[in-house]
Amino acid sequence: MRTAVVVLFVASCAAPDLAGREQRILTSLADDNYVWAARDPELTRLKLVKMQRGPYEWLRGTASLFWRDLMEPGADRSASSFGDPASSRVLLVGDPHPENAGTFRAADGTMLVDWNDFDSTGYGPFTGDLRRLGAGLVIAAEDAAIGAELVRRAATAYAQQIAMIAAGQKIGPVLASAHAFLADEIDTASTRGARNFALDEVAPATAGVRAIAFGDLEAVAPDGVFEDRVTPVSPEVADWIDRAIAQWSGSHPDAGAVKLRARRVGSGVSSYAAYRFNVVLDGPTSAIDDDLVLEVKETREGVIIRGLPRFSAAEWDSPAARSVATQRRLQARPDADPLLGHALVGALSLKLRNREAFQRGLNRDDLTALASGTTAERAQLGDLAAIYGGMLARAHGQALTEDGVLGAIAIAPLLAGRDAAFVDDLVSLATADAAQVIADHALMKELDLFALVIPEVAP
Amino acid sequence: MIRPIAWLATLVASTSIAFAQPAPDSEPRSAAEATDVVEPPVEPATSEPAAPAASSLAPAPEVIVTPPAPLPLFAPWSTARLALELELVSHARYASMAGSNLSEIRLDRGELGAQIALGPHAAAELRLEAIRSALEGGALGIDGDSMVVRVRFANVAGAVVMGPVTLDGALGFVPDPWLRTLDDGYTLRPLSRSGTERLLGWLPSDLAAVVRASVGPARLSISVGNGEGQRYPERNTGKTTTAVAEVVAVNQRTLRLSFAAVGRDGSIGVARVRDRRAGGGATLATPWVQAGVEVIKAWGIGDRGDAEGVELGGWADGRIVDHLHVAARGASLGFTAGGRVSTFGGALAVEPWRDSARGRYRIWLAVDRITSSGAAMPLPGADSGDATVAMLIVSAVAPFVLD
Repeated sequence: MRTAVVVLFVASCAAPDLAGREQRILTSLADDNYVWAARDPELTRLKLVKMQRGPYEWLRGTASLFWRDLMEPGADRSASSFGDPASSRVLLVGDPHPENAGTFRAADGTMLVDWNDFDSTGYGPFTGDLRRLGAGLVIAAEDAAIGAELVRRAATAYAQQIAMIAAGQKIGPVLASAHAFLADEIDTASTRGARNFALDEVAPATAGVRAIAFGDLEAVAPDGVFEDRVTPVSPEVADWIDRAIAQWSGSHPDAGAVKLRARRVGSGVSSYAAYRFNVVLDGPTSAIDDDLVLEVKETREGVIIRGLPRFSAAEWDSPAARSVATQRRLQARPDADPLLGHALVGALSLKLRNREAFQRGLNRDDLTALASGTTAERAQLGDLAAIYGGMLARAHGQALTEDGVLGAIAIAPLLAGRDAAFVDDLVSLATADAAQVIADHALMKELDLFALVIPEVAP
Repeated sequence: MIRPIAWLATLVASTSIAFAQPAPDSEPRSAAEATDVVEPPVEPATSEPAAPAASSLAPAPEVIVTPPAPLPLFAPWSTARLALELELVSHARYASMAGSNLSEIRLDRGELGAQIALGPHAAAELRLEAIRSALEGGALGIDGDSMVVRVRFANVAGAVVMGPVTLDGALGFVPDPWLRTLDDGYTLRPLSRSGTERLLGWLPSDLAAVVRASVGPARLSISVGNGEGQRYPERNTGKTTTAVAEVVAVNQRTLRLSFAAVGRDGSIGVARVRDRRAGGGATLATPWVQAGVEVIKAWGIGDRGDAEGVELGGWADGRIVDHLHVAARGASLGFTAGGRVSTFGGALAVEPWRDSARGRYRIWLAVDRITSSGAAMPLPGADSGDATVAMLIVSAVAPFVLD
């Protein structure tokens, strides 16, 4: 008996041999990628490889870890001194880093810039979103001093716009006139969208007939990551897509029948392994020029603050329903994407959006270039940071909180008369957050993450 | 390679003792319950023969006094061919908190257990529980966020008696031995899970082998399992070992007092986050009052291997008059690095009907208060998540035994 007990204890001795921070990162990655790894281990492996490319990619792939750090006991990130229960129920973008903004063409043809990724939305503390934006700006700048100044500009603009909204002022969308860099982006998006750039890329026409261009639209990267690969879908997946389109078309009765379907791999970092399909639909006429191209994308849970008393279920029917509803609430124009919709196929929650080139994401390489450019270019970047901050203030301030009041009403009292302290707090926290991201990336960039995170399905 | 081999050796070694298991839930959860110690003591005068009248000329009849059967120290092994148990707890809640208050009706717990005897020394047990399919606060559930049924316990169990030693155990999804010990006689589960389970996230069952040996008033339980509970299959090569030692210090019809100590060493998840615990507790049962205390030191909490803390908990359930109970409970977890989460509550309960063989139900009017501070706040520096929840609770336990 004693021998058996000794054997039992020897068997159980699993003394942790990883450092605390390493454990935390691996646990978070394992939880985030569990379902994807079980379904598609190779794509999950590529996602982790993509995350290891650099601190910015690491930031993009670890939103969940970021929020865990802000919320859980023993947090590796300091708490903000600007918060209370009311301002902890603000509707958040969830992952407002600089590349998660882009151009849109609203229903009336207005071109604008707004947040474009709502996968992680949910109710939470407004400072969390600001810190995420700030960390993104610091990492994109690749210079701590410039980064800190960008955070200062963003936080200052945020505080100003919150005060304006709380005073009753309505903040409109960011238009081309706001900034020369954004004007260029809008011009490119508008021009490309008008000539069906995305549609022709996905399904080029030959002799008046469209067909999907399967294969790699961009070369596979040296690290093996697919940058933009288009593959056929199985009959089962085609059926999912058709059912999703059927649900979506209930709110878009003018849309035609499904013509073509394909799976697309390569976009995003956090959602790299998610299902992402391109679907070509017949337009109003039989001509191929008015065909539509949609993206149908799998959506998962967003930010959930644990430990707060709440109903056991969310207020939305599915993650995609949440993403769509919150996009409309957080954007300056609820019709910024007239084709926006959602569907539920079995347990697969799908978000549908216009895939045409009117929607064009901002690229952080451009921000990095401005940061390393001339004094004038750095000043431009500062103005851009202020626009980011204002855009976040507008999103938070003009959407209703979980308690049903305007976000600005919940946030403004905390900032009133303390603007300078608030900006200092944000600069301090966001630069520390960025340092943590950079340190995490340095800790993990050489490891075989897939083998560590998903050992039972490792190839 | 040492650990897998050692684990394999453990499994092989344990096959001879694997068919052992705590008495199923359909059986009394404790010796106290087995002897109906919660019932008021019967007045001795009514059970004794009347003394012969002094003036009687007839010889007094001989009085034969049969000594009462000794009270079992631990719940006995069930030999029933089939034992079923249905346990339900429904809440109507009103939460008062910062921001919008909440009101909702929820099925807090729904469990159905079955045990079928496989001869006199073995049995198969399956216990199912109803849970919400989506993550708490999430939207990704099954057919919306439907109630779904999952396995809570599923094991083959057995027991053998070798002189003064009783060995029992099980292999499969088995109840955690420490929570089982705490819940033995814990009558306030409809109000709240024990502090260990609620604040430390101690998992109620695991894929494991458990062995128990009892001698006289002492019992030792050892469980070796994955450590991942119901949510995941094994995710690392280490195993989690839990040892519980119990001693019944007093075992009378009017007083039962037991003490227990627990130690655990193991790891959770791919990162092998440590899951190390040490602590103890005591349980008291009298016809009118039942109570318990627990204290646990934790190294590694949740997914944080570096977090440490001490959890303290206590509860009392008293019958003030027939069918009317008053209860109080509390638990608090303090983190070594700062911060504390606490829950306190109480209730008045009516127990309109109770039959030790056929079940019982209670209607509770209860209140539960949760507070937190420092780094233990859900949103440190911003929101402590403090709330007071008033609840109307209906709980029922309905066993069915076929011998």
